[in-house]
Amino acid sequence: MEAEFSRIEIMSSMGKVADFIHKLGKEETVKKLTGLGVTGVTIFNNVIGCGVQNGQAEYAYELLPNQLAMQLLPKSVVTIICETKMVDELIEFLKVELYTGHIGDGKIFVSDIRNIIRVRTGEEGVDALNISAND
Amino acid sequence: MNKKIGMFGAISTGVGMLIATSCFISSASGASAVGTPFVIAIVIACIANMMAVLSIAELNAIMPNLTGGIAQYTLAGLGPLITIITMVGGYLISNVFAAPAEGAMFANIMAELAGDSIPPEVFSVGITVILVVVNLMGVNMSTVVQEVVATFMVISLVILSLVGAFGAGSGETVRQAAVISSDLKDILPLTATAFWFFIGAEFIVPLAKDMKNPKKNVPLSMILSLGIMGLIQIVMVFGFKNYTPWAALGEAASPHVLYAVAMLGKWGRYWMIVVAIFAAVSTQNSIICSVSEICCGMAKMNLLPGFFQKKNAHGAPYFVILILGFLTCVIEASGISTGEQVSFLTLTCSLFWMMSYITSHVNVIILRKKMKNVPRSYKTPFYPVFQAVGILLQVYMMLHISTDSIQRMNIYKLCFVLFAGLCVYSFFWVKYRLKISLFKGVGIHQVMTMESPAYHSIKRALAREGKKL
Repeated sequence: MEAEFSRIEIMSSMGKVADFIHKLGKEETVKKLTGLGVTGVTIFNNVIGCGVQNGQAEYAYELLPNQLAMQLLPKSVVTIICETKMVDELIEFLKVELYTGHIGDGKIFVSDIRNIIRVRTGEEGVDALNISAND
Repeated sequence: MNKKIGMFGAISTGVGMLIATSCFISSASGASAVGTPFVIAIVIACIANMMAVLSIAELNAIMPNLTGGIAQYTLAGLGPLITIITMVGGYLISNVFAAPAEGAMFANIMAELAGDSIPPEVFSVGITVILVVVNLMGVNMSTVVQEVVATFMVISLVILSLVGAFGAGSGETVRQAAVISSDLKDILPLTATAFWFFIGAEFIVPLAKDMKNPKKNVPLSMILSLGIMGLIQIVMVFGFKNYTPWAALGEAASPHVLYAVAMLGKWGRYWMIVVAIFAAVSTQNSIICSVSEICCGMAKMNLLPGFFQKKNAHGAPYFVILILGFLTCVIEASGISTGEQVSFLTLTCSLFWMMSYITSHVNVIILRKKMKNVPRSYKTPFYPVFQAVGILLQVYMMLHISTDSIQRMNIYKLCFVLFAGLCVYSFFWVKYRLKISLFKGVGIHQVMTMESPAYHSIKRALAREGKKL
């Protein structure tokens, strides 16, 4: 059975995530994300890593694939928890926002969440994801 | 931080690119052939080019912020052979015909002012030489100057066309039939003539990286620029009907001056002269700037010899500028001045441009199939209706490039010779220099990688060392 909630994790370069964070400061982006059921975002900055290109420059990987040493680059991870029914639409939006066509646009991972519990109120599931009824 | 270009700036750039004094020859030629029904041809040509720019907007969404523009889209869609043919033909060769057409219009205006003492070629060659020198010195008209010039030209043309259409000028109105022919067989072939009003809106695309909300504003500003240009031309046709006898309009070397004088007397002449000089200088300057940029972009991707991107101490790509300037001066010095000669140049240029628009539609179709999951911030609506109809309209216009059968055959002959030469060059360049498949589209990430100068230097170094790539 499909889980009611999903976790969307975006792993991308710090530069691209910084652009995304900049967009989060704009009213139209916040409105769009709210409309897609996003009630919060968590960003892990200053992590390091690489993808299938071993962290090499685009042109170096193109000319000498798998012949260069692995380089770990500064990356960021964006985590969004939402209702599973909103996942497809949200991913379409994120894909367009993150796309530049260049190597290093990042990857989006989707996984199931079994439950959500708001510690302060003890609310669970959808209630914990949205504004508390107790507030 | 630089201020981002808003919708007004984008539209004024777009309209500025579209407006050229040689447009008056096309509108006079079309209107004098069928009368006011020429507006039908204008509307069809406008719609055909709106479809083309929508396809270009989608391609830009797949490969944003690239310098070579359509060259890179075509490289990804149709491979290197077609890329070189359409780009060199559609932008380099076509502009070699467009620039002297503008020069000739400028010369006609100046000759009217100076009288017969100085041959008109002196003016056209003179202005080209000045613009070449200015561009070699690395002095480009800033966006602000372009905006001011474009705004002045648009406002002037709107006023001049509206005054004419409403018969509100100080001159005497002409009593003549509005319709010379209402037969679609006469009207539809004139879409190729009207096509000339609407080329160049795609030059908004390179501004995308400096624009506010480019995802929405790039396609919208291109469509609005074309729409504004279409409206101006439509109103102008009704102005012609009120103030200029159809026969005199078709024969005039400077129909815009004829119209302005008939409508507003000597003040109309001065006003139109200022507009025409601005338009000619701005258009020739834009041609030199944009073509040198495109050639640099293509040379950077190794699609043209490396010396095309060599720059002088002022940062100007001097080789392209000098070649373009030389060819323009040669054509101008040949003494083109009549409406028919200018029309020959603009129609030849249009034919190559139509080919590049067809290529853009085909690129969209190929990339929708090949890369259907790639996120696009802009998708052409009703796919593939606009692409299919757009291609058909462009082919129709190519087949009816001129209503005069002799002129049509001369255009075909010239284009055939140039096209054959381009095919030979492209074949040998791709096969023996690039050593890649002639027709196989290059991956988008590779096209983007090719933007980096390091890519080509490392590639050459590896080839010298005999390493297999």
